[in-house]
Amino acid sequence: MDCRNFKDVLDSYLSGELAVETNHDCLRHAEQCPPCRAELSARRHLRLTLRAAVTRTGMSDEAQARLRERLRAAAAPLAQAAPVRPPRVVQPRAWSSVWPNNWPSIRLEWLAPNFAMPALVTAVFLLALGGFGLYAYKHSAQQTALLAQLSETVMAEAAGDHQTCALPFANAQAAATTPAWMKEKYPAYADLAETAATGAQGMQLKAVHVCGFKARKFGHLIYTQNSKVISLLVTPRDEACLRNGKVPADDGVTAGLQHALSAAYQVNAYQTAKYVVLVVSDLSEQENEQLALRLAGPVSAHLRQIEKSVAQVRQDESKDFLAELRQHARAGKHK
Amino acid sequence: MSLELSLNEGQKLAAFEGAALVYADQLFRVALRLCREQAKAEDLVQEAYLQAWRSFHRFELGTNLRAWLYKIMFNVYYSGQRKERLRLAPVEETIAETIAYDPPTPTHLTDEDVIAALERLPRDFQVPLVLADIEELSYREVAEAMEIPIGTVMSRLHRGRKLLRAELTQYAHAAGYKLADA
Repeated sequence: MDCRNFKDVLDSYLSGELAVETNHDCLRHAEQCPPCRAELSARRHLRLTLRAAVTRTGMSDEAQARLRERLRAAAAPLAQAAPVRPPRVVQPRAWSSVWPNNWPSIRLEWLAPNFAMPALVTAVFLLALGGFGLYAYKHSAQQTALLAQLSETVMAEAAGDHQTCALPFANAQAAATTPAWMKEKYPAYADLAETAATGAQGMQLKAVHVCGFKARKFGHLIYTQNSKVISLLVTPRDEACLRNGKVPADDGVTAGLQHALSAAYQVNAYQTAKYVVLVVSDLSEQENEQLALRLAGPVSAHLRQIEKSVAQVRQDESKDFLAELRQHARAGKHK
Repeated sequence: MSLELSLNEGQKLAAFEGAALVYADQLFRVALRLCREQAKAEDLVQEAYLQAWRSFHRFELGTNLRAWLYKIMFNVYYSGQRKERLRLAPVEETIAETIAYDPPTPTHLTDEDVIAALERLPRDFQVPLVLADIEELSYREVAEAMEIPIGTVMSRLHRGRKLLRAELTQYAHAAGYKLADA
């Protein structure tokens, strides 16, 4: 390396962006060339001066406070949407003051004794609230189910994996167990066979493995029953699994059992927060659905259980992580 | 892994604030290079954070939060400045020719000297320089944040640094400061 090359790459050297070899060349050149050594130290000095000068400015405290306020405001509507406002208790005497002055003055006593009217108002209010609550619940459940519609892609990939991977096992002799490496590498798939065992009575488990079809990876259990092959497949619930390309933030219960007919194979699928559990076969639609209830049902319940406990741990971890960050930020400010 | 499964909205906001607001000053310094005005820069940072909060469910824990925030900020900035961004591009070539000579770097510079020189750089050079040499983003992170090819980042950095040194040398000559031995 000559002086010209050295000066050309010097800044990338200071940024730690050079390949190991060029880095060595740089150091070697600096060792034997005093002017370049001086230039190295001058540029390093310039960078430190620049950094010190620029990082003295930051956002003003007012701007930071305003930012926090705006974030709170942006988060608030969502945070407040969940709790339903409790019904207001209508006081018997307060009611007459609610009656608009310009409305025809009806003598209440003509209609009912004094206490009946407030009670009626309360009852109607409660009924309306209850009705709305039920509507809102149903509506949101429908929406969740709609958002959780599985894509044709994932259904077709499951059918494809069944065809290419499972069918050759039709005449396999050996009964299978979950291999140790799979338990280690894919802990979520470790207990699939055990979990499905009750539902799989009368069927033979021919293979337990992790395989792939196109870009998708499946935890795959292959069963046979009366010379028919049945696949139980588990795959991460990623964006490609969902019809609208977005993974909903739920535990997948509302999505229920979904069905598709893909390349003459029946596919039924459950979802959990993190996984899609599918059953594929060339049985009839009803038979496949029955199998899905028996095999995929317990498996998705099992996965949801794991996810719940992981979520709890993660929540605890995230609290620790936040405490650490805050401490870090505070320490940084005091410097 | 995404945050949304285990936290409610309030906890999510706390998580977001705890993890993201530590970068507000850094974002602001880059915003200041982009907007050149304190109030506008503060607005840009605020918009970027609001946008980031709205997309926080898409952020993957364990990936680079700082780089993600920069990327969002540039997005917000570009969407408001499409025309100006195009207008700025051709400046590069003319400047490149004027700085073919690379003198030794002066030392003993004050903070004011370097800030003044930095502020005289065209914005297209100033911004990558602040991102890489001051806020210490990698070249790749700069490229991703600014949505420009990494080759462009490297050439802008190369020219920007050279131009900055030329400015400072001129200044040092005038003020009689010491230069590194040529």
